[in-house]
Amino acid sequence: MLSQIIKILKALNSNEAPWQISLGIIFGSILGLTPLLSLHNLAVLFIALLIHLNISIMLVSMALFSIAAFALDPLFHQAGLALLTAPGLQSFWVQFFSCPVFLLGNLNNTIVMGSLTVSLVAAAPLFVLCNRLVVKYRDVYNTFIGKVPLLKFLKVLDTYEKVS
Amino acid sequence: MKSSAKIIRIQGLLVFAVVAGLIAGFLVLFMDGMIKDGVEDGGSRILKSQVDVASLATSIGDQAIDISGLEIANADKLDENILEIGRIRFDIDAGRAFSKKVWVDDMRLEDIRFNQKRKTPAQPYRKVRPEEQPPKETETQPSKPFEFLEGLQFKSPRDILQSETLETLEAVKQSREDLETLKTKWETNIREQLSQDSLKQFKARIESLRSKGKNLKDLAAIQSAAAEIKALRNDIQTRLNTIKNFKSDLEKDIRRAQNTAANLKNLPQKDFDRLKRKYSLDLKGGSGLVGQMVSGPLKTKIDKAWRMYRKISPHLKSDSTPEPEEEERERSQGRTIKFNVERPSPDFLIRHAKLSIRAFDQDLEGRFEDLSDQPKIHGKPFVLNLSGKDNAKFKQFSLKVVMDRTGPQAQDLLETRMDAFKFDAMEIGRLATLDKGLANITGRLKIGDEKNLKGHVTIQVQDASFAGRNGKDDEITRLIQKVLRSVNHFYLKVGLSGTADHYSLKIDSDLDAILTKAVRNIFDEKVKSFEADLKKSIGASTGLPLSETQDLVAGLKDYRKILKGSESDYNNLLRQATEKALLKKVPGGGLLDKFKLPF
Repeated sequence: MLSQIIKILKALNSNEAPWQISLGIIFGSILGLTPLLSLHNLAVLFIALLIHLNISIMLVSMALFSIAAFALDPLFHQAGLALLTAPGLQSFWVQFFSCPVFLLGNLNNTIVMGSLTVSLVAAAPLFVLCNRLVVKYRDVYNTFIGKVPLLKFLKVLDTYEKVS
Repeated sequence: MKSSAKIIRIQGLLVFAVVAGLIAGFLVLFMDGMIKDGVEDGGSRILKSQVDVASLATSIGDQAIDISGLEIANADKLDENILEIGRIRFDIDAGRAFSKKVWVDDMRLEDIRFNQKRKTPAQPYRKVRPEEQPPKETETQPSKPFEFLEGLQFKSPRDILQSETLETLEAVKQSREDLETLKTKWETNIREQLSQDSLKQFKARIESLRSKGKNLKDLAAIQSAAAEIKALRNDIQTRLNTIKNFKSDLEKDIRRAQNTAANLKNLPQKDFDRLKRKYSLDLKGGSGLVGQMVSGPLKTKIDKAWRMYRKISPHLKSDSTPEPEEEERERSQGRTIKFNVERPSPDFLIRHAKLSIRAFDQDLEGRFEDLSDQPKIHGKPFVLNLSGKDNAKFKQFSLKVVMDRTGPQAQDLLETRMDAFKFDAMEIGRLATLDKGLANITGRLKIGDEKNLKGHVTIQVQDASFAGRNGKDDEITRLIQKVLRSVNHFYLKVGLSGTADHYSLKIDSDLDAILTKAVRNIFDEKVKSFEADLKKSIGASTGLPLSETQDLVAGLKDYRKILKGSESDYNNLLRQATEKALLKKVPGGGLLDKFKLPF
């Protein structure tokens, strides 16, 4: 737990852009909220590795959202069931699941469909929120560092080491 | 703290490739073992008996699976494999596999063997609860072949009467209770209504009136006495009426008791007929000698085959509409929804398979087509054909099995033909063995709606050779063995009809007439002796109770005399109780009698 907090603090205080941290949280939420051994998570992992996001934050986010997922499963089931059995969507689903890959990905399962939909829908607002929080955190942090000369010195030293 | 990070991370591709490679490597290394375990565990779960696979190899390039040494243990007999398949090789339709469907276009099954001894006993799949235990074969075998002839050692009449309840004795017991009740009733009636005390009271009243009649002084006293006499006469008449009613009731009771006694006389014969039917033998009736010989073993085999059919049948589901169905998931209670796709296809299908089977110690070749778990969707019935010819065991063999679940009702068909089948020694009861012979067998069985059976098998045996079995050495055994040894050819026709739970076998054979004729003489003699003994024993058991019942009926007749005597007594009293007899002549009474009015 401590190491995970350190990882988060390190990521927040690193030179990485806020979107990298936010994207890490978003991808972690998708991996964590949806059943891990699903086909779509292979695609999520592929994109996560390809995009320059923060992997540590993603892993921590995945762990935290996995815990949340167990509590949220009934909600995912209801959401998935509503989507998959909605009368207006039946012809769409028939067409959709005519493609075997989606069946293989278990997307016709209420939990998979519900959790994936919820995590994707929540992704955009979560991204904006996380971005703002990271920026806000860094502002507060920098202000705090600027007020304490010793910390300011250590930070300059650290930046110098990284640049050199 | 602003940074202009690159969006794409090329090293990520490398990491992904490494991860994907590791996963692929893991699958390549361990997939065969995982599938093998899956086949063993899943097969055991479905078949409820141990399933073993010696080796399993997958070929991703060819999309093929090769299984060697598949063994399915017999759940009822753990040291035996019900089925062994030396090698199974089949191609998987990879395109369908993405849709979670198992489609096999071509399959080869080699070296199929049935009922082979296992090297090590199988583990029981689960403990069978007593109520779930399959019926033992002996229970489905009503009689052993020739058991009825061994029954010529008839059970002794004494033992029979000890184990059987005689209807006669039951009826006698009931009749005696009824007669005792009647006896009590009549004793009570006579004691209460017709006692000697009662008679004496009437006599006393008459005497009292007589003495009173001598001292009558005036007309009022005469009138009073006349009224008393009238009352007395009324009482006596009432008593006489009671006696009359009693007599009528008694006659009815006697008639009823006599009828009961007469019926009882017929019951020993009825008991004899019933016990004769049960314990004696009748060669003319029943399904005949051969019928009794073969019906037991046949029923055992049919029941066994039926149990296998019931195990297989549920796997060929006849429901066609893929309704949304629930499927529990490990993480939570998620549900997998199935959609009615425009062109539905079954989840499991083997289009074509070639078989090589070892049966009757001979190699048979065969093929089956269109084995599917959803035949209605697939639209074609499962068809199995097996054949073999010109080998050491038979000249020709063919078997056709059609399991058609494409219509509203399941229609299954089994047709077989076997020419010049050389069978091994077959035990015919404990008396004889059919050592050798050539049989031509044809059979056809239809199963409608998975329960209605209709079919027939005809077996024509030539060059038959029966031999006696050691063990029993009595007259009937020797005779049967001698007759069977003289038989060279015979036919057997078995008709099967009814439902799976209540089917009947109609067995016809020319061997029947031969055997029946031969054993008739000895048989009849033994039967006669047995029946005479049985009749004698029944007579001895029922004679005394019947005689006692007759005595009780006779006892009822005694009440006639009592009633008759009482009636006579009261009639006498009635004659005595008249004014003329009891009252002295009133003065002037004679004049009054002679006085006649002039008008």
